[in-house]
Amino acid sequence: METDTIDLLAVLATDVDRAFEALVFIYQDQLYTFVLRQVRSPQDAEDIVQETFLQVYHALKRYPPERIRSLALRPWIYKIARYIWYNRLRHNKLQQISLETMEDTMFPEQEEERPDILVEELEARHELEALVKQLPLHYSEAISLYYFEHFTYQEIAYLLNQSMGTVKAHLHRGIQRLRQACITREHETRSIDGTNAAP
Amino acid sequence: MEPMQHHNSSQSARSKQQPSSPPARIPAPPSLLPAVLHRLGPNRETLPVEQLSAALAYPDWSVRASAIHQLETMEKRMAIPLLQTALQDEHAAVRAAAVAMLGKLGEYTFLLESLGDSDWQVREAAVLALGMPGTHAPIEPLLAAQHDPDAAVREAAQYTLLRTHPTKAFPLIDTRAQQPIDGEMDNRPALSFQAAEWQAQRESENGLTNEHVVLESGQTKQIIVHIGGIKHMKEVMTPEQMPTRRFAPEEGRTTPARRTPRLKFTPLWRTLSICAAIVVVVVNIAAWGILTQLHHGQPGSRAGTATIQAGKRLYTYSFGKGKAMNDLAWSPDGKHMAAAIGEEAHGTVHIWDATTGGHEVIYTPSPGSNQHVDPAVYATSIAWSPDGKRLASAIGDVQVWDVATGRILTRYFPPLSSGLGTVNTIAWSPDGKYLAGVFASWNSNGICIWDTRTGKLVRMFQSNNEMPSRAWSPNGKYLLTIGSAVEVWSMPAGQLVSTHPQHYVLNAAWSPDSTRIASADGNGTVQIWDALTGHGLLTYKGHANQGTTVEAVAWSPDGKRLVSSGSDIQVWNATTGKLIFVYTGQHSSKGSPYLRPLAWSPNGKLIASGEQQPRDAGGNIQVWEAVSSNAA
Repeated sequence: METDTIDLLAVLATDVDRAFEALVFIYQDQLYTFVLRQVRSPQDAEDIVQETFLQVYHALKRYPPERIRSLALRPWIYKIARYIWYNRLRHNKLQQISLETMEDTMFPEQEEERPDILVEELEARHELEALVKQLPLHYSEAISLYYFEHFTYQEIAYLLNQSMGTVKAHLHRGIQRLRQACITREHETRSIDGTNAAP
Repeated sequence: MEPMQHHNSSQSARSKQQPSSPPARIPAPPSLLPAVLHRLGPNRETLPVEQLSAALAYPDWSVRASAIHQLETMEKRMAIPLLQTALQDEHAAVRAAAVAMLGKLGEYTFLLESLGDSDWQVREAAVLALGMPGTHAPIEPLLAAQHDPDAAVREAAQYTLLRTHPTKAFPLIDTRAQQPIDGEMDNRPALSFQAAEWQAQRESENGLTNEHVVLESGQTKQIIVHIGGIKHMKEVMTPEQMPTRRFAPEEGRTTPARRTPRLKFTPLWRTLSICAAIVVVVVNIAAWGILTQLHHGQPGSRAGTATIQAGKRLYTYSFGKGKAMNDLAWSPDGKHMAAAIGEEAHGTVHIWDATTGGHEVIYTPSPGSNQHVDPAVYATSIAWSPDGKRLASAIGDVQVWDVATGRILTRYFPPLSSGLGTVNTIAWSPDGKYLAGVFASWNSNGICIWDTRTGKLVRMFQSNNEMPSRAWSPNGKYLLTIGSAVEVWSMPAGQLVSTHPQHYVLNAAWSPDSTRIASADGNGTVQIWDALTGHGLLTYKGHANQGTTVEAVAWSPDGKRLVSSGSDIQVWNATTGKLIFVYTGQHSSKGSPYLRPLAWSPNGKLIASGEQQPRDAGGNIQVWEAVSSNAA
């Protein structure tokens, strides 16, 4: 565990109110990014993240100090967020919006970068994310957490409530399917290019 | 306050493994932090005692939860009724806050009920509250909570036990993973039994028996079991009482009812079962006679002729949205089909009459009591024993079912020295004496081989492959693994015999005579190669121009033909590579890169092909007539 996280946990263990704002500040962007990738609606993502931090606050208020000090903070926060997201899914509270309308919101333009490279990166990332989203949920979730959110196997196992072997199995199978999807997409692109190039 | 910077340690350590597309971090809307703090504003104000009751009825759950935190200031006899009411709150965070406060007040009797809450946060709060000083709670609930379905609750139970009863806590899983004990099998059945026994006793004391019979008829009993606040319904029946529902050809269906075979027979039930069985047999014989007569009278009838209409579909077995199919296997006698199908990560084993699609039974794996594997055991791989009497399913541990009764005969757990491995795929030896399970764990991959007569682990191999799949050669001498390479291992020595260089292999199958292997890859080709030398014999490119992968391949029982699955399904000559027949009745979503298992019936006359739609959007299995041997 990082020193900064330990410091934060130590402060939270003694006074939740004092350190809570810092906690939100540290985790809000990464959590929002993660949730937005899953729900693809900025409004839903904001609602879920807000609800997550409220639940985090109340959980910390009821935890004994020693429990707070021993928390794996980041996976624990993600676990709560995921739980809220799943509950909403169960009750169909989320609004689904198309990928096209998401583009501007999800990947805001960065002026200091070259626009052509940015567009290329954006397309590749967009395409990869779209393929990941097409995978069965347990694969796409494992891949997102491991490769996009950089959680360890152990953290994902805790977060998804699975054994590490299962996490690895899902990652492997998910990547295998993603690879197939990429190959298929490539073939399709080549085929379209070939058709267009034909006189 | 200055915000602290967060660095992710795992990021740098795994940078080499990352795909080429790390994500951009999207800034949270500026309104987020103020909104959170705004909603927490009233929570931080200390309310006068007389206003706490009103706050507990406030529409915002966060205010209600904060009011509970402040009930500490209220007189205990006044606070407890309010907390009891709050235990019924619709929001889990409010219930959890009430549980925590009851723990602080030393009222552990209310907490026991909350251990059965459907929300993990409430159960976690109950476990932590039971460990509060002065609670004087019994240890049994904490022992039982170590088997909770949720990792956070288990962790909280271990944490609490380590504080209150250090000798009773399971060692934390990390510690075990770092100190594997070679060859040690699961050695904690007594403790898990103790916990289960306590759970049953507690429910009985609360007037909640473990199983509630809600329906009893001549055919079935439905039993509702409450585990962790979740209602599980089991329909209990005898094999003789299985429904005679059949599917009309071409008829699709969704969401079959879960059925598990009978658990317990009384003498009366046995008598009724025998009577019912006799009636069913007599009716079936009579019906068969009538049907045979009718068929003989129809032109083009299949009965009594060798004519096989290639591609004629017998039936379609559909599974609905939210379900995924993981594996498909024909029983050795050709009478039954088994598939691992389920919702997300909770696959069940489905078995049905292979030629009609009817008489379906569903085996639901029991939740694991072994802390070394997933508590929620589910099936992603299935394998029939060669005699067709047993069916093994896995993920997590391996469960072997008696096909006739639906009972679990035995379970095999990967040893601790596998690094807390989870068995993901399984295969029987051709003589049925051994069962191989491929495991993956946090630090290793490999194969466990159990002797099915003694239940003992007799061999364990580590593999350099990332995640090997498996297939035992029909002669029992070799085991095939598929990972970053295709490898053949001699059994039981476990020596590497051959390696076939082929990229992106998705599936491979042994020829019936164990001399050749057909391996399908992501480039749309199928390669046939010599199993002992690894030399290529034939490359089939029938799918190569379809812009798709070949996900599955299967040999005909006579070894003359192969069936492979791309954007269509092709049957072709295994020696010449000549295309014999194309089945286009499935895979309507061209290019859809999802699971398409294939299984050839043991008599070579039928083929079962599966299709899984993207994103768990359901799918189907179709059984259709294979092309005749003469055409090959």
